[in-house]
Amino acid sequence: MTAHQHPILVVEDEPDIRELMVAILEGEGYYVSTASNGAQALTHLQTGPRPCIILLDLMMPVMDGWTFCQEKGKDPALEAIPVVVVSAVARQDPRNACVQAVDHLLKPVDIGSLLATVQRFC
Amino acid sequence: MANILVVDDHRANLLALDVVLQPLGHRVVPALSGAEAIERVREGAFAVVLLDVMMPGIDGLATAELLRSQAGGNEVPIIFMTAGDIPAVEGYARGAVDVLRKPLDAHVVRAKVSVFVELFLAREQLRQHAERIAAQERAGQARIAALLNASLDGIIGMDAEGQVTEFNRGAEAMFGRRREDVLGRSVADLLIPPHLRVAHAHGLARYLSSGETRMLDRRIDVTALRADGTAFPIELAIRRVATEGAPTFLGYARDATERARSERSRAFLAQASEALAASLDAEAPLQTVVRLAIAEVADWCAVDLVSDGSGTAVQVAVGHIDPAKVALAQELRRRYPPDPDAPIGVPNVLRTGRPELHADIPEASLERIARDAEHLRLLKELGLRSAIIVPIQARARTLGTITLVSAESGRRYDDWDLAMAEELARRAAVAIENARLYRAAQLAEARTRFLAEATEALSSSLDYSETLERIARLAVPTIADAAALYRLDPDGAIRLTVLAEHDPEREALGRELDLLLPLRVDQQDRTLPRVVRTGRAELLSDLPSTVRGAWSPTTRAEELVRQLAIRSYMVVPLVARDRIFGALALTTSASGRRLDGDDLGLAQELARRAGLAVDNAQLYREAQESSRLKDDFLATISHELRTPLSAILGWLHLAKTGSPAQVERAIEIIERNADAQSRIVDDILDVSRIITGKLHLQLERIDLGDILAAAIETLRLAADAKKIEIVVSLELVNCDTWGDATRLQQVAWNLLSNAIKFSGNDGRIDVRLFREGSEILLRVSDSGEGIRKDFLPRVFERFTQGDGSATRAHGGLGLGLSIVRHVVELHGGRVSAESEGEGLGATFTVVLPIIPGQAAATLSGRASESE
Repeated sequence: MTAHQHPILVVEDEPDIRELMVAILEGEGYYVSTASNGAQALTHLQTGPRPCIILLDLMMPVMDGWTFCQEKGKDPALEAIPVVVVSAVARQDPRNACVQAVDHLLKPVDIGSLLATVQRFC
Repeated sequence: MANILVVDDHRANLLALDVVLQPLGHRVVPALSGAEAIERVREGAFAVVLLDVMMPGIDGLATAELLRSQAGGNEVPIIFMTAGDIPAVEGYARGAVDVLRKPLDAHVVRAKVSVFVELFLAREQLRQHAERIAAQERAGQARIAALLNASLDGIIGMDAEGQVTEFNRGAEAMFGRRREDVLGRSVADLLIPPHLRVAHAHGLARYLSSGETRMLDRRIDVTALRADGTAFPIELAIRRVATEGAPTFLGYARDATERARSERSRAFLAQASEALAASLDAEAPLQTVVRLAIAEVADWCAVDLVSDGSGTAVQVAVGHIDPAKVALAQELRRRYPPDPDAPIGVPNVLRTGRPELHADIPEASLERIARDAEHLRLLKELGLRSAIIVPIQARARTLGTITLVSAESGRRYDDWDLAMAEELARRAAVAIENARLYRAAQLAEARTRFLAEATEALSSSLDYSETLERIARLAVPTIADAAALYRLDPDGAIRLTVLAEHDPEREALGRELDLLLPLRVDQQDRTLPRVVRTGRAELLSDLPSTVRGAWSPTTRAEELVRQLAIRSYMVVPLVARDRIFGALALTTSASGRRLDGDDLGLAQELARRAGLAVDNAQLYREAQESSRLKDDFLATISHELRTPLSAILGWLHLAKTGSPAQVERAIEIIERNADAQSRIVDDILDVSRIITGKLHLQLERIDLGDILAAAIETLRLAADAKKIEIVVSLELVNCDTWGDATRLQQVAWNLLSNAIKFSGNDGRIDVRLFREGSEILLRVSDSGEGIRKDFLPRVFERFTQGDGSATRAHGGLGLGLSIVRHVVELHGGRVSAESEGEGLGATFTVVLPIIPGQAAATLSGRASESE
């Protein structure tokens, strides 16, 4: 297993799923940091180490994934960080128009696809 | 045949002379003495007398003298017969024309007598001829006099000096003068009005000097002068009489008063007809008629028309040369409005349809009409002299009246004027009828067009407020001068939402007045709230003073009402889906027209279509909303089902490969998520049952305290996870009631799980169960996010969450509270939600009636019927 320089940021409000993601990704040797909504995620980005990828849920309290994407887009330093949407919201949902995601994984997520996607960026 | 008188005292001589003279073929009359001779001459005319000189008694010479002295006898030629010797001179001196000597020579006698007889006969013939001529002359003169007098025309003779030489009876009647008074006097002084006398003198002088004239041998219209000093029109033809020397003239004059009058009234009627036909407006041409009437036939003229709506007469036009007098008349009418039962005057003519002619208006009549001394004074001031009132009738209906009054002119109306006025009224009736028919046709067409446009305009927008705006704008100016749209709000206030007014200044006045007159649906004395309450439109064609008063609670309002000068007012309710949601008020100003039943019908039709448009707009909005909600709901269901499924599948995957600790953890998480998913499915099924009316209660004796405790217990972990404190206050003791335990636990669980879901970490939830009268109350208060005021009324609706879908913060289907409400209502209870606003927490209260055992049966019956 390879130790990666950059962490993966998991943004997910459901504790059961957040815990699941952490367990799977850490099991693959990734370093994982978490946030339970968009606002926490922004704080992480501004204060913590720059992640190689953001795995983003959409439907979240306080700040949802769509708003998070808009806020992130406003900051040139963060804009380039790739985002992979991991959500139960269908990819063709009109609200997704504003989301510049490199990939879109529909829940329930196929673990293999998730790891393959992560591997491309980290 | 002539007579020859032979006088001789000897019969033999007479016989001899008879024989001698017989051959001449004339009658020989014998006389034996001078006396007899005189007798004979007295009896007849003789051509010649043969007179014996020597006679006893009166001798020949004396007889001759006597004959001469006798009338008719002085011309008779006398021939003396004598045997003696008389000096011829003496004989001739006695008138003899010849002297015959006896013995007489028969030839000589015959020749001489024959000469005198011829002479006599010739003279006699001449005399008879002259007599015949004289007789003819006399007859001619008589015939001319008869002709002159038989003529209806006035015939006036005038000589070169301008003096009257002839004046027939016609002229006497026409000028009011007697022949003997005018003959030899100046035509100009007697028969020509002063202002034309100089022209007359000049014209006559010019003709006499140069022969130039424009007056002779043609018909001319001039003004003549009566003995009483009045002028009158005549038709005049002047001829020069063919005489030697200075010319004389004969004038044939015909009184043209009637003709002039008839021509004037014909011209007046023609002008009036033209004015009436010129416009299809009913009232404007009547103004022209009034103007023409006061120029031609009256000092005053007024037209009253029965207005369609009220049946009372309205003076649409009144005129007098002097505007000040018009103002006086209007003032009079305002202060003393006509009594509809008055026995004479306009009301009577309107009632009976029969014209009135008051040739004279004696002061006594005015005294009878006058209501009081002031009225009488004003009436007298008008100086009324003579009057005609004729009905304007069409199709056996009296539409109004035309009144002609003479005052200053002193004119006295007669039957002739009445006939003229009736003709005028007849023409006016035709014009008014045409105008009304035209207006009706135009109105019908405008209405159809208007409604078509309205429908199109209303249907072109599905936006509610835009539709309302359009309704008001459409009504102006087709129906009225101003339109105000009022909305009935849930708080009972009726608020002005749109004011459409042609004139911006008037719009400002209207808005200010609206602010001074707040409307509420429960106001008893106001028209608009009544219409909103009853749903029945109201029309006030002539705004009553009571309404004006109700609009003027303050001096400023009174001032505004005065400035707006509203004449007609109508209000129609606006109804959508059988609910009155407002009213449309329409007005015309005093200068505008009077709203009638037709206008009201049109406004109602507009309101009906507006209602449909509002219905459509609402239905559309609701359909949009409903469609959006369904889409959201499906997306939410999908999301909510996928979330636990995602956890279940993910942890299953991990369980296969993970450590024993992870396997244990996986089982725990899978179980919890499977529960959550099954609850979601339950909720969906419940809602489906509610919608189809298949949700039924299983009634049993329950203990609400136990039910609440069980619900809290199942949520304890979730609360602990967010460090939320649940403070329970169970104040219900020994409460014997029935209900569906499972469903009521679902109610409690939903309220509590909502409270936990919307509370932040370290929050507090207060749960209180208590009794109030015959009701049990369950109150759940949290210190969480709270609920926006505008969302409170909808919080119990299906598929809704306070947070809009785009920023929806929380999972869940938004079905919980709708299930709560339904279950509580099935129990005969009710639910409510309160919140001071966002961030200030929320309180949900469930109120349940205490249901004793025997009532439970009834309830389950009702429950199965509901929805």
